Amino acid sequence: MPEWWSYSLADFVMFSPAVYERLFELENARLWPYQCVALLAGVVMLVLLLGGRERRQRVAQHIAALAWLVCAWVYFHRSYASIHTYANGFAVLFAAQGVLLLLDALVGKRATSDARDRTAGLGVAIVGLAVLVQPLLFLLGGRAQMQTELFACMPDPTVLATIGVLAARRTARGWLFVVPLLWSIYSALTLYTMLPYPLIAIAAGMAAAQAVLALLLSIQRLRPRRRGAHHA
Amino acid sequence: MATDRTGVHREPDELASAASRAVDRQRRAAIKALASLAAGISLAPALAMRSADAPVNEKTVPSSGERLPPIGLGSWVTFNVGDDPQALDRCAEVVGAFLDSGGRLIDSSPMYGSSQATIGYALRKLGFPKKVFAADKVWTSSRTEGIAQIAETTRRWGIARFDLLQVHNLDNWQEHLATLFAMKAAGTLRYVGATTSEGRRTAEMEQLLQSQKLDFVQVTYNILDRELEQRLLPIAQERGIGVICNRPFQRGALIAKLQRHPLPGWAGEIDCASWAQFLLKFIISHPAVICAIPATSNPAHARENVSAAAGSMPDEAMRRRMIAYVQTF
Repeated sequence: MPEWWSYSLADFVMFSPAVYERLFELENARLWPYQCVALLAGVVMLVLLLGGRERRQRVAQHIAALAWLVCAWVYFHRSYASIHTYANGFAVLFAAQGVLLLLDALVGKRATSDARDRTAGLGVAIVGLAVLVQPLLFLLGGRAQMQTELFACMPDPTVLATIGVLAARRTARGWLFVVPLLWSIYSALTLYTMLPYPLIAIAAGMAAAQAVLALLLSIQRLRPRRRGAHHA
Repeated sequence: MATDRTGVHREPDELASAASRAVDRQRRAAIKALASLAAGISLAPALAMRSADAPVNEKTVPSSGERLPPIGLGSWVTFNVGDDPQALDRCAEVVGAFLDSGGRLIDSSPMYGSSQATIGYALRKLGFPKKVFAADKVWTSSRTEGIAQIAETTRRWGIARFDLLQVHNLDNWQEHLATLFAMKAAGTLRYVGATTSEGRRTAEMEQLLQSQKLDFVQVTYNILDRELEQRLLPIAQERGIGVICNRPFQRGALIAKLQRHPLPGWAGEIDCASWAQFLLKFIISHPAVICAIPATSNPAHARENVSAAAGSMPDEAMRRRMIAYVQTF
């Protein structure tokens, strides 16, 4: 790209904040009453993680994987592609991450015991935030009910919840955080260009925090571990 | 009851009287004096009506002599609304308001998401008004893809042919210009152009203007971004290439900044009722400029923008005064 330094972030965002929020509204209308299933799935995922059992964590990861596949089809291909030239690229990325999460949960490294990792509690808290607190936060902030972003419907809460699941599951691979990290950076930057549109600051802040979490957790998981460190 | 250019309601007979010209001159002088004295007191409503009632001053396309209203309609961001039925109808209202108030040139690009399809929706809803001057771009890496893209763009607009096609951001201009000149020779295209924005690839664009017989060049030019006044605009003028100006409001940032400050009282001397008109009049009063293409998602703003082409235009002294005033903020 010539004279790349002359481009600003806003040059890459080709829609207005109002259109962006309206996208959620239209997609929520199309999805209804699937949101009830999505919310239930999120709560089940949270409950599965509470016990700290390896097998239940894997089931939770299955749910997260399916959520990525739904986002790829429903949000990126069906909605976002109508206003974003490269949305189908994101759809492929989300679908690939969904498959990887699924494969990792099915055949990935298994823990030899149900001992909890030090990030397990953090993971549960993150999932709770993504599934229950984040939608409430926007509703209380004044966003219309139909513009709510929910886990397994829209990307940001899905990515955040997945970061939580991976944090809670101590054998989850570090590279599984890469796509969540990339999406969180992209989302934070996109939302940043829409400031000071109402509530966008909260959304941008959350996406940025999401990116930091994904980065720190991926570093923690990818760092070589001392032998026997997790075989308490 | 009719409205005269000062916004005062009068009987039509009175407006049409033989003495009205003299009265109008007196009224104009009174308005100027009042505007100068009452800086800070808004004359916006009255002046807005003046501009809306006045005919649009057209400009001449150098390569053909065709007359064109100097305010067009851009579509970057504002018309990228996907398949939202409410937003599509709103955009159709914008296009309708723009055309009704005297505008003609509508500009888009394959890069602008669903904007082309939105324009197609609006035109279909409005019955494909004949007055539309359809301008779009080719934005892809190869000649073959460019030809296919032009066909798709034409389908999205729902029209038979474009008035103007431009090479977007000079991407692969050698091959695309060959396609566009061939289309012009075959009579399937009226004008050929090239675009850039934010001052990028200016030197290459200047070379292009010197070497190719373009009809139009589209660049970023506004009251704060005036670097092109040094070389590119004079070259275009000398070569008989009409200049279209994108980002007249710096994508809204300039308007947002200026709206915190009062319009100067002397803006009335050039029939300005708003900052949008102030900024647009500055651009279109440059002799090389044929058209400015502000984008909007508001029908009232579309009307307001077009009305900037009506009434008095700033001369060189006034242009310098306008720059000086804006630079104080």
